[in-house]
Amino acid sequence: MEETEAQRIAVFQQLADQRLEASYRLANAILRDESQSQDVVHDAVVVAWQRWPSLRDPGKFDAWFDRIVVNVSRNRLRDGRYRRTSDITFEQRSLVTPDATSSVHARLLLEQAFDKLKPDDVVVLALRHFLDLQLEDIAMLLDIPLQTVNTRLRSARSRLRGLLDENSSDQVPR
Amino acid sequence: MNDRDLDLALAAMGASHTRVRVPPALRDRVRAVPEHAPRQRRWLPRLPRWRSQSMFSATKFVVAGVILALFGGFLLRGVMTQPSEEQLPVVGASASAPAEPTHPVPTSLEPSAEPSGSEETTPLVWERVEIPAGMGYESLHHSTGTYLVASSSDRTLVSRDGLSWSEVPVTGEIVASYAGTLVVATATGFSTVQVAGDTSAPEGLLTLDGLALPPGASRLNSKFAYGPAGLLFAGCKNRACPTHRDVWHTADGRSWERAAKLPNGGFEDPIATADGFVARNGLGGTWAEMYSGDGRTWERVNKPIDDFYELVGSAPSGTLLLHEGIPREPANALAVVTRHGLEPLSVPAKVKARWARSEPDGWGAGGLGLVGIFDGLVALSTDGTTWHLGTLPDSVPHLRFGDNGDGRPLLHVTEDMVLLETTTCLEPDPLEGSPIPPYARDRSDRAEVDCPGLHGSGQKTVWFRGTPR
Repeated sequence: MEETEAQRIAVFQQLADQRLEASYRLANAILRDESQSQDVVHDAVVVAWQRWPSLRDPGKFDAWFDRIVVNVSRNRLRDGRYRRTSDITFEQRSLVTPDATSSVHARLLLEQAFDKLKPDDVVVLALRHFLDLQLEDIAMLLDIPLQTVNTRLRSARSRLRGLLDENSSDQVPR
Repeated sequence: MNDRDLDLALAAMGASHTRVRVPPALRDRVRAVPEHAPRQRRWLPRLPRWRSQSMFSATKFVVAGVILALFGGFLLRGVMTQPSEEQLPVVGASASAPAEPTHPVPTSLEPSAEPSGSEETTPLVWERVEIPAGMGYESLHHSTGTYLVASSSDRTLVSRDGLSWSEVPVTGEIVASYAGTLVVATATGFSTVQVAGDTSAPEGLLTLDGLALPPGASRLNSKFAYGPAGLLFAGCKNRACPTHRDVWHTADGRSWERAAKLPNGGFEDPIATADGFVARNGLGGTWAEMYSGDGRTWERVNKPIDDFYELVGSAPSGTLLLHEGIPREPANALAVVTRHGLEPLSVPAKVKARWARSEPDGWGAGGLGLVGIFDGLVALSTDGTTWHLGTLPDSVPHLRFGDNGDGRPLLHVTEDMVLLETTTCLEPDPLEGSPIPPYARDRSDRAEVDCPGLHGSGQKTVWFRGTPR
């Protein structure tokens, strides 16, 4: 292997390694599934490596790579076969009633509502509320205008609230 | 729930999903990527237009590839000829009895010349159809024809034409299918549902009703393959196995046998063939294709290079497998996997395809397809040598095919038609005769339709049904 190629690999590995924790949190915030998140981060690294020659400024690696992680995560959500692995078994769910552990029940309703949201809604809600990103940062990450972020967020919250209202009438969440 | 309560609930939920640490295995996998994931495919040259043509996004390119793949089956039926025994090397039925290769094993996949396969262009008639939304789709081949299966968490629908759908009783998650039979998993076990032919029992396949999970096993991060050789289940015995799966096999539908430990942990893409199973085994960027005749003992398929990324389907005889080329590159590299190595397939020179797809039971019924977005063509083949070209619907170039070129559009092929799934703007809908909305971004490697924010994300899924003219 030529020395220059070895250097290129070393730089990429260092940058990817440094960003790994943050990108894993980012993927897991969107997917809420550690196994899926691991696959997505790995896929994102493959994509980044294949596009590595197109990144002219390594100083912009973090933002560039985060954008890839978001896109790969969103596409994973769009996959019709995507199913999140729940930490709570069906048997455990059946024991949770609104009267019993209300906070757990509310969490289940929220998780269930998230499962029904569109991928774009999940992404914008996760970035804003799970990762506490500012709207400007979300706009930069998604590469969309700030006003579009506002609109998406407002719509996503509205849809989430609607799903929660709809689900709250169920006695036992599925 | 008011705004404040919603904010608090979301913050609490987010805290639980962001307090995660990178597992050491993932760090190892990531570090290995540069040494095992080539940046450029070697089979076909990089296409100059890939970087310079701005009218078509990478996502569109991907979508087109999918469409081409799905069309392969119906277009090719009656047009293509089945590959001869000489063309298709056969994997031996026994994992332990090595057979002589029917073709020389290549030592390199560098192109030696222009693809030699023949190419004809056939117009396709496209129509937009309304089919159940929010579901996952797959093609299910059977001796009586190809069926489309649409499933979600609570419904399963079956169709022969993509227009009319009927509901079938499925309680659980569809995890595998073969020859008209679905394998359904619940929290505690498995069952089979026959949706084609004589629905009273699977056609020459195991009935799995009453089969429980192997003791101590979990379906977390699990993979399945189902076929004449039985049911293969790769799952976990605890949560700490995202990349190291345990593999079980049942040959009678009642009891499980544990497979021998695979050498390198990971177990991906298991596919049932007529005489066994094939899967990928490995970690990080190092993967090996494995073959098993009985689901319990596995042998490595000798392949010359590591440029291939994913097993995408099997051939009708069950003895061949198709590899997909390096993903997210503008052209596909395709090869057949046998026990003896890889055999490269020709790729139509006209089609600047990105994705390939072969349906289960593949080339005889579903066919093999490529989709080119830059050129608006789909390419279909039953033998990987002779290709039939079709045209994409006029409006497809205006759709988005995933984000940043990473999306994988869905394409389903039957003998008579092809279904293409993509997304478009909710309002205005560019497909309803209004002007195509401007591209929000138009860069060398990325362009997508800007859906005006009237409804937030403002997108919806649309389907096209293509039939030969």
